Amino acid sequence: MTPEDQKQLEARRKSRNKALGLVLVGLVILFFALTIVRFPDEEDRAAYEAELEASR
Amino acid sequence: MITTDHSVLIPSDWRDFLALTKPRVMTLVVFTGLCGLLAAPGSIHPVIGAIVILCIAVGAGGAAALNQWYEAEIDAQMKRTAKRPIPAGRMARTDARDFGIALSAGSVIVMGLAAGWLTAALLAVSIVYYAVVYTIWLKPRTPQNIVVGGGAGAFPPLIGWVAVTGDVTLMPIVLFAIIFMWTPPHFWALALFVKTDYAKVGIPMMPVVAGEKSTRRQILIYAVLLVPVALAPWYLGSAGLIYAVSAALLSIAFVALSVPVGLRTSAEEDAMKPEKRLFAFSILYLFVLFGALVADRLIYNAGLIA
Repeated sequence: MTPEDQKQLEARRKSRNKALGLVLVGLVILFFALTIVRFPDEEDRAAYEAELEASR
Repeated sequence: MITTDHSVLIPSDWRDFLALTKPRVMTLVVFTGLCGLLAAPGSIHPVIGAIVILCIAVGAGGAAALNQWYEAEIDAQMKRTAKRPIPAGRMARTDARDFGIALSAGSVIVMGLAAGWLTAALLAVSIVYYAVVYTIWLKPRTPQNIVVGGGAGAFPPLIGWVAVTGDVTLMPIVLFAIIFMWTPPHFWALALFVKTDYAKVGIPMMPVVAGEKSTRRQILIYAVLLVPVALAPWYLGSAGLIYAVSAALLSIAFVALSVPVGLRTSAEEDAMKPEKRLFAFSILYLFVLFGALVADRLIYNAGLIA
């Protein structure tokens, strides 16, 4: 491997790591937002209770 | 040789991974998926809606990567596809496979958590349909492969719709059927004026196998069959007057442009004007038709038309 190849390899690796880092940060944000949105509120809990009552 | 992994010394650029997902195909997938989501009755939280669209796009990207993993050798022999990351030697074949599986599995899991497992199952079915049923099984075996492939492209609006309603009713299936019927005339019009090397690599494309005359006749048949399907949302009562008028006008134009293509025979050195016109219009047709469906629903929801 020539020094140029070595240099290119390192540059590629660096940009790939950056891209993967961004994807991971994006996934963290995605799961955080999804958790907030789907977290059951009073209404959801009441509906769930009612469903349990009905099935009894 | 492109199949040996040691031929790729330098790790692939991230842009090659992006290219593997066919971003241009993705725009149509995102658009029709979004239209299905917006045209569906009921409401969806905007965050969940955005995640659903993201999952449809990423799932389509995963399927595209798997398609290129499987077809690398064929792609290498065709001018149009020879510059793709694997045949050009910029990516190891197994990397594309693993990337495709990761995107597919990831999108299905996130879809399940965000919009429920029925929607996720439909996404999984669409990915397997494109990557396995179409790419591996039927594309190299039947000249009707474009009809089969159209099924893969028809999933996004169905998935978007079901993400909102939570069940598969007639309307999302009608949306599926519209794209399913639309794809053959759309693609075969292109195939008539673009000389591809499909024959060389043994993919049985319709104009090569059945000849130009038969292809032209089938374009016309599908264009006519598309009319009742495109009007179905209206006479099933799921769409109003805005959609009905738009669909009727678009259908008239589509059939009118298909007739000359269907009935003529091309001469030597033909400019293929009618075919090019039909192809260009077919793209406009789909965008306007789905746009009208959404506009119809939004205006109805706003209470402007009772």
